Amino acid sequence: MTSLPPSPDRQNVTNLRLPPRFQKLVEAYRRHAQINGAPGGGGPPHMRHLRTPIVRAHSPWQTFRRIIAMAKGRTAWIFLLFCLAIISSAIGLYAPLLMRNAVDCIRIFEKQPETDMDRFLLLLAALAGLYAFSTFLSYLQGWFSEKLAQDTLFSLRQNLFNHLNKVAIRFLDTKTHGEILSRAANDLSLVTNLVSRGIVSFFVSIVSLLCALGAMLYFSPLLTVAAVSTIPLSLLATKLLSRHIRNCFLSQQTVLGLLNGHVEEIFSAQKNVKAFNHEATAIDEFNALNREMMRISIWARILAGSMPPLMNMLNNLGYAFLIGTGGYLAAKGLITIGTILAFTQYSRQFNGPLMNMANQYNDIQAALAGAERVFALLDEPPEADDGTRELPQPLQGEIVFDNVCFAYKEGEPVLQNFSLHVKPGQKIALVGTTGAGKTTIASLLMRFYELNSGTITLDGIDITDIPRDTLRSRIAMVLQDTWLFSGTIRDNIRYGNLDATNEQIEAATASIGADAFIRRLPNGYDTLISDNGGNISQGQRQLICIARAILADAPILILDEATSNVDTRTELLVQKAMLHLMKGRTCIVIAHRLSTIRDADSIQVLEHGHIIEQGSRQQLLDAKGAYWRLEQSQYLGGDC
Amino acid sequence: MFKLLSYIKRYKWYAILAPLFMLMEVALELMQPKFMATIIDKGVANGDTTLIWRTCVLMLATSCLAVVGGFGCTLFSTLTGQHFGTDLREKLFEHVLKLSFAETDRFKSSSLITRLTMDVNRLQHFVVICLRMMVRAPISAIGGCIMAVAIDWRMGGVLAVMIPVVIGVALLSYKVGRPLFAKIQKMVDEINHIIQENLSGLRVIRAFCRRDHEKKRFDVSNRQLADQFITVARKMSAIFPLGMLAMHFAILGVLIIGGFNVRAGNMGVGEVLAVISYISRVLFSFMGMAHMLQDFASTRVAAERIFEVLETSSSVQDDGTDSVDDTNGISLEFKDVTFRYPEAAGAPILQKLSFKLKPGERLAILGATGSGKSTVAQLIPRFYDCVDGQILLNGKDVRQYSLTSLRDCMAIVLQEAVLFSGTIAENILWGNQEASFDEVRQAATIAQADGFASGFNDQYDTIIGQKGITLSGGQKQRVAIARALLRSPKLLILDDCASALDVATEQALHKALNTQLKDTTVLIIAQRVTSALNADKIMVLSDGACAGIGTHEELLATCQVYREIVSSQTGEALTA
Repeated sequence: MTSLPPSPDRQNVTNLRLPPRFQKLVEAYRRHAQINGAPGGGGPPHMRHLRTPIVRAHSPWQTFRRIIAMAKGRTAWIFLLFCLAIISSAIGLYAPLLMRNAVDCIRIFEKQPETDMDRFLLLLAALAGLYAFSTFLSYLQGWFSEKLAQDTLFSLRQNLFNHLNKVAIRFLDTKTHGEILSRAANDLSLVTNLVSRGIVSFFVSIVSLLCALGAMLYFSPLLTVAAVSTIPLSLLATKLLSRHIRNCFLSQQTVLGLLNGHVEEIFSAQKNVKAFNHEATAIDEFNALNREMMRISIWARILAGSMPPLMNMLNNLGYAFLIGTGGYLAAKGLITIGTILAFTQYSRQFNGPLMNMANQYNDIQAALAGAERVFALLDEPPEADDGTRELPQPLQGEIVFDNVCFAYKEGEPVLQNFSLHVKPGQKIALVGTTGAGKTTIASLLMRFYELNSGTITLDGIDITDIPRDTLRSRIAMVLQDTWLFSGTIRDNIRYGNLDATNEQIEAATASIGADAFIRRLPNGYDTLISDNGGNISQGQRQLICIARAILADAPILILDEATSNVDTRTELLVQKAMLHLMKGRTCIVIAHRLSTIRDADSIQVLEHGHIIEQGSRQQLLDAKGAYWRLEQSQYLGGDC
Repeated sequence: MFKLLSYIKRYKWYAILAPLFMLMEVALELMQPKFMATIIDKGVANGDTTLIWRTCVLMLATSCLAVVGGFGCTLFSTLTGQHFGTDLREKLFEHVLKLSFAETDRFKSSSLITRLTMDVNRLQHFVVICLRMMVRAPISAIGGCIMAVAIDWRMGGVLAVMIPVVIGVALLSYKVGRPLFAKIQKMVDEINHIIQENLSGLRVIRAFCRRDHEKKRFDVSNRQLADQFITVARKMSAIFPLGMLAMHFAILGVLIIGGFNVRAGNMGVGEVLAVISYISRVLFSFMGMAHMLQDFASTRVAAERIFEVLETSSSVQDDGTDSVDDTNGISLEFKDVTFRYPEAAGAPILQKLSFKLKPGERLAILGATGSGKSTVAQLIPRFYDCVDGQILLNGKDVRQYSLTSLRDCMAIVLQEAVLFSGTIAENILWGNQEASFDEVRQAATIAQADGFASGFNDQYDTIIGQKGITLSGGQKQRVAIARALLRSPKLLILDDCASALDVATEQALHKALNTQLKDTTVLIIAQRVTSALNADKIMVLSDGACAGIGTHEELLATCQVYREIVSSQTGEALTA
């Protein structure tokens, strides 16, 4: 790596030690976040990241409130749970009272009245009934709160998923799939913990905590002071530790995201990894991330894990204090032993929720960190979709690019003042060197990206004024990447038109000569396509994608290197089918193989985002310019 | 599950220290109720305030010591758990990379990722819980029992009734829980799979406006998962309240027995309170164990999923020991090779294919889509093993070489140019980590990638996104080619990897290849006849068999399929 200058701001990344490749990626994400104005603190950018660690915790309350807000639509359930909680708390308060009365029935001092055994047993029987009832209530509480939690998570997952299909493609380009998957899987499952145990139990805890406090005050204010004397200490400990712990968990989840990204990349590129004997390096990188994750996790967990014993100690301190004070007061005859017993129960009720929270401190902090990352993804702006104009029916299919400028990255324009006029029903071909911007033109027409300047109109309507789905549903596109989902071949083709019948599907494949190979597969159209696609060749994948586009039956057709891996004889068949299909439709064909575009009405030769030549094939050949040279080289020159 | 112990072995000291610290905490905690009894029965009853305060201070001191125990346990259990998880993850990752495609095709990659992260995390979590609870719960339970019975043996009766009840409830929860958790895990896999698919197909999904369709698909799985969790809750929520009920009933039992005993003068009230406190502890411990058992149910599912992967062995055995001697170049021969993809039925994709390549020779393969061209390429580095016949490299069966040596001597550029997130330079360096920047640049120049790479603002340090998304198709292919060339291979396999290159660029590439890599044996899979013309020989594949092999002129004269290919590309040009 001697060739690569060290990244200038590497030292500033204070809390993560990553292999250089990942370091750069994290910095790139961060730059993206800053460009997009994601929360990153104030101050000018160069000052900002000097002190900012890669990840920084937001206010926990902000995050917590958002989680609570998700449960909003389920007020009835929340209300029900509240009622259950209040009844349980009331029982919880009443039971020690009964127990006190029962114990006080027993005589231990000379001055007390004779032990009343009947009353004692009666009170105990009442207690037994009360406990049985409260068990049933707790069961309902457990069940309903899980239901509430799961329904809430259901919506959160749904939101996240829907958002992924809406968020600007530009954003997704900057992240690895594994990283995003990690947010949807790992981070969300952390939130699960918080929601299912947290939201409801949080309120229940507060209710029972306050009730217990009230009851204690009612019995003996002095003892109450003794019982709660350690609370300020617990609060202080929590305050000191929590921010740090959450930062650790955030870092942990960030590394986990990187790790996931790495794994996803490696697993999905296994052939390359093996071909290049790259296993060792992949493992090294994995280990570096894995070890770094361990380092941070250990810190996070030890810090967070010190909470329960600490709280336990404070709890025991309070307990000792309570018994001491109570014993003293009882010895002086100011209170009864029964009161001490009741008090120990109340203080357990009071400390119980606090202890519970301390014990789940790990989970709560981790969940907040996870939730923050999930919300960050949800906060990414979706593709702008504010168009309202409908397209005319039937669509003419006139496409005009007017002075379009576009750059994926600032300072590296792909298209500069690009203009193109496609007449209705015209078949236009884009040829030119790679990187000339051909695919970009198609992507812009589909509004995968937003223009920097200029306009694109369809039948005279600016495409930004058209709802995205309306626009896209009028264009059938065969993309360069041949994405097939794991499912049957039939389902993959039907993706173009969900209502298509089996006959239509088979007709579409037959028209491009793909029918034969599909039928030869052991399960024909019902053959499952696997992840690595071992059973289907690249060219066959392309044929399936074309069939899919044919089924879509849209007035505009874009073919982006649709047949680049298909052999030329099969391509002839495809072309024949296409000629028939293209009649009356506006078509944009992108290809390197000139045989693909022979029949185009007009050929545009692109170079560096400009059209340098255009015209029909014959015109271009006669001109003996760039196109002529291309064709010379391709058609075997003078050989034939 | 017990197989996991071998992963903990290395950290046995941590694993031993953690429970020891826990022991200390528990022992100290167990002393507390005894102190309380002293305060009430001796201090309060006799009005001895000095004794009350002295005992109180003792209580404070022991709880301070207990925190040391608690913290020590946290420290060592965390260390054990994290090291364990990290090692297991590492092992699993390495293992997956060792598997051949026949196996990885079976597990979906999204499932492998969940296993590698969520399932391992679950195990890790369980180890930590075990180290804390395994000791704490039994000791606390046994200690509590002993202390309670020591105060008054009659209290043993209460325990004898309640403990079996609690154990029964715990076992029931385990039995009910396990199958439910197994289902949950599968559903999580499914959800992750859909998300992954949506990410990789995002352009197609948007182009076809299939957002609602995908949403419906996702909602089904999503709903299923939520419902499954709710079912679990419905069935399992009773466990904890039932435990509490048992505890409360036990307390009542103690009160009854204690009440009669106090009246008879056999016991002090303080002792009854102490027994209540001990019995609460005992039952709490049992409930802790019940929880652990519930955890165990879901952890076991995770462990099974991990071992399912770990116990799958690769069908491509790496038991060859020879290394490839490529000083005199590499010769390649296919001898009656027959191949069929695993789990595929029907006619084999390659049928008794034979051909021979001398060192430094260049062979181009042409053929219809699905005729087996890529398969030929993938058999050479042993991505799969051929079903029948032999592939000979320098006269020896490829299976006789070690996989590392075999794959080291060649470079293959696959049809799909897969790049990694990182910079352009890093992606090229993939081919050979030791290469200098000049070598990177030279490889890029041959691959016709230098032109565009130097044109970027950050030049070779330009970061390319996920799978090289920010580059155009042709640029990706050229980076992939540069990556292969950086290995200075003696055998180069180009699998239709220039399909997105314009003709001029491709010709320049071939010209550079011909001059720079004179001694390299090259296998070019191509669609264009012009690409094939750069080779010494051309082979035409048809349905997995050789339909003709020879030079362009020979094939034009003898091979019908070849003539058809040529005319499909030059049809008009020939007639024009």
